[in-house]
Amino acid sequence: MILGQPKQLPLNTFPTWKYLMVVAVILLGILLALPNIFGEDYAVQISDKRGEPVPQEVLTAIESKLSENEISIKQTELTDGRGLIRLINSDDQNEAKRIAFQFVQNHESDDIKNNLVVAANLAAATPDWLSNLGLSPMKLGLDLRGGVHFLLEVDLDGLFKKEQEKAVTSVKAILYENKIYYESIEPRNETAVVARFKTQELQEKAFSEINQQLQGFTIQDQEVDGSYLLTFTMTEDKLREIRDFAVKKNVTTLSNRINAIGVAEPLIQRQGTNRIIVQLPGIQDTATARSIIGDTRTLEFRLVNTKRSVSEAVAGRVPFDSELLKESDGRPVLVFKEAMLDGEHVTGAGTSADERGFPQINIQLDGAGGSIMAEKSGKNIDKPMAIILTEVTPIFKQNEYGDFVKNEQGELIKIGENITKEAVSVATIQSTLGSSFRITGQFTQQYASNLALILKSGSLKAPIYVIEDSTVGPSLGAENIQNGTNSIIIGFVLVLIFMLLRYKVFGVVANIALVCNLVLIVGVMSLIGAVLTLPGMAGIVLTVGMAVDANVLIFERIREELKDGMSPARAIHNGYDAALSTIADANITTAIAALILFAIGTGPIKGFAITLLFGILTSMFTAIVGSRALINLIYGKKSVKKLAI
Amino acid sequence: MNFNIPFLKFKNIAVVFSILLIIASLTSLFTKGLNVGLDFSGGTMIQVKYDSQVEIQDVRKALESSGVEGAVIQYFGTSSDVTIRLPNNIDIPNKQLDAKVMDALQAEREDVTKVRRAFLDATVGEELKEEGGLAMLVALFCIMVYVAIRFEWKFAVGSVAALAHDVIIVAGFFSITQIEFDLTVLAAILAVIGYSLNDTIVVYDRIRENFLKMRKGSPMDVMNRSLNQTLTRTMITSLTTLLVLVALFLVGGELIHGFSIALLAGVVIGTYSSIYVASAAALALGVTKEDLMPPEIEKEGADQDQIMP
Repeated sequence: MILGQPKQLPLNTFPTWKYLMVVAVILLGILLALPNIFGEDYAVQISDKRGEPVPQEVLTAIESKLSENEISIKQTELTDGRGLIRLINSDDQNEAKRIAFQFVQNHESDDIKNNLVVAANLAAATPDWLSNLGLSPMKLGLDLRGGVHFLLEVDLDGLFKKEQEKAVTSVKAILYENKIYYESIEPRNETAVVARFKTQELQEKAFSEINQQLQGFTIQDQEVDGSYLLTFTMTEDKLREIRDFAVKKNVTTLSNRINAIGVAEPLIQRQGTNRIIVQLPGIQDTATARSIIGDTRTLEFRLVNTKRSVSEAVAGRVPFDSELLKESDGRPVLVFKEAMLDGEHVTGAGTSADERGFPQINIQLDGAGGSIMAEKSGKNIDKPMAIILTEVTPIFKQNEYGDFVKNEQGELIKIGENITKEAVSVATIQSTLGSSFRITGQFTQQYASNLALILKSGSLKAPIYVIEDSTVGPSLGAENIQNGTNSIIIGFVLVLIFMLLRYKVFGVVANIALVCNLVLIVGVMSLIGAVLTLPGMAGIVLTVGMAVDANVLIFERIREELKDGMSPARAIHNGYDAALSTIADANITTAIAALILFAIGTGPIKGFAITLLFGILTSMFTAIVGSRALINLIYGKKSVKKLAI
Repeated sequence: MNFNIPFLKFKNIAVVFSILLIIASLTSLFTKGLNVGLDFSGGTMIQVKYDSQVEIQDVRKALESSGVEGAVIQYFGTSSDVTIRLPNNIDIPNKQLDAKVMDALQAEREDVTKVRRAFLDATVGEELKEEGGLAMLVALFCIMVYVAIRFEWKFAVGSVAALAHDVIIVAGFFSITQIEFDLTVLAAILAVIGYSLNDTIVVYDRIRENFLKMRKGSPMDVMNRSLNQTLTRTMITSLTTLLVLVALFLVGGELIHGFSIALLAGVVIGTYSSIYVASAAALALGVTKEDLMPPEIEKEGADQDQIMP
């Protein structure tokens, strides 16, 4: 470069912006880490299981009930539709939970009684000005806060089998229609179907027909022992679609159930191809949690009762053979109790555009469903048909605190069922419907996709199994936090003392860098919402021990340079320069190990990998740039005869 | 402190020592195997706490009298904390297992409470074993590639030899002592890989620098000189790391005992291996000055400061 050489600064001075950057980074780290020092409040949480906001009046009423019972309230807030009443201690929390639960249970409005859920919670006591900045403390893993962890596996074999049977039926139908004679059609393995023909001519003819009509399969031809075979194998895309859908559906069902029993801050997440992680902090036994697993959604096609008026039914005169339901937009609709067709017969549903460009919903039925539908729709042309979604939620016995009561076998006691029915779609039958028909109207794309999804879920039933569960009691959690914190403090102090003894002034600088490093790790982890686990805390301890390495490398190098007769200023300069690439190489390789650990690890191990990874990054900053800034401030400007190292 | 220890003069003794350790480790790994934890074996684990000391036999008797057979019962840290591990093929439904075990224990002694419980399907354990082994191999491979790019393939082989050496010996240590090998121990071993590598790289870096600096001297002299120059740093970093690990071991609690033991063993063996295994392997493969000449691209900028007074 010829243009403008940068202004050469004296040895061991930073340009001002560099000092400012160091200060800014550290201040930012302190700010991010700050929410962690305020601890948690005992709280009672009131939420709506449908996810709707809790009315302010209810919260105010509970508040005044609590005051009547002389329970002092620290603060009440309504955020994201959830009410949170913060209390002083755990005795108050228990009593407040009882009072709130009783209030909700005995409320005159059914709406409130059936939908509001009361749960005990530990809420972060972050001051408002910090939470307004969007800052929050690190989340604690289940091993630190206590709770139940589940790993569930969605069983997809049944779904694949159903898809396979469907393919056998379709292939037979296609061949029959085209008068192609076959020897046999059989399922093979989990995802394939094999058709056998006498001659190559028949095989070729079948190939071209089926290739046009059968979706989601690859076709392969083959000649074995004088017969001609066609093998249909489900494509990867189709398998993935089935899998994704079944898992997603189970996640939704689980979320609804868990919201209904009232768990503060649950985690329900897909893992890998067909697994779901469920974490329920604060729940103490796996029996409660196991009770919520299982699917009870059913789907039916029914005729709308047009002989009687809806307004009469709304007024209370519902005919014996009908029932009054609501459409998704809240409009009442009178439907017959008897179903035209069960949702089990639905084999597929999707959306496309109709002639006018509006989204339409395409429905496919299996063979049996198609003939039932043809017969019943033929008789009821020009009459409206409704699609009814029924959801059954078990109700378990609760004590006065709202906790579940168990029988001697440790199982929950079912005392009833909560049944909700909804007419998800009402449409007029235009002509006789077969095994494939469509619903048209002036729908939005959103509505059409939703409806298709509901229709599909009526048919795709995939059971789930628990393959891993664990419970950590709250006292063990607290003990783990204590142990983890103690080891961090003791390890930290030992290292501080050692560095001070060995490197004197430089030791002080390294120690300040180490403290900043710890603040930065905590800050970064809080910012990205990482979960702190016990192995994570061990990772922090390890980072503390290893983070001084960079400074040790630099300081030892400076000592060597001094021994080689360098001036103090030169020695500092060379020491930092020479150690830089070593530090970078050494840390990058450790980071590779941490990254791999993060990629394959689960739960607590991931926590360990995260702390290790961030520890490496922040320690490189504090040890190289941070400590240099301090050393420069101390030794940079004046001419130094001797270094305290 | 000015060291001048002819480390690599003793490299034959070190080779014999390392080989003996590896043979012992592998023998134990193949005969005794690892005492794998629930993470890998699958099954149900229930941890209980008594108010005062309890005898393992009493716990076993209590369980067997209620028909719970095949339990592995161990103390957990103190003699009043006990873990009970049950295999998956037991014919009591998982749902009722907790209640059944707790009833059995309470019939014998009232002062017992359940602290923790975990259930793992055997397939999950199998997967973890596979994934853990795979992670180890992928890590070693990625590291080898990085070192080969930054240094030279002989160094890469040397560093991976040192890491494999460490991994085998730490695993062997767990096999010989039969300390429970769970997921946290696996994590610790990966951390040992990181740590040992850190040490190795520091030494290699110095070897590279000295090869370029020292006009005279055989590769062995250069390596010995480098090892001595980095010795203080190696010792101090090992010491600070050992300090925190001892703290973790003593106050970190029973849950991460295995973790801290693995790292303590790993740091000691890793320090030794970066001196002997890594350097000796590179030496044995015939590292020369020429091998390290090319990767100097940024020469121009890097030299600038040196010229200025």
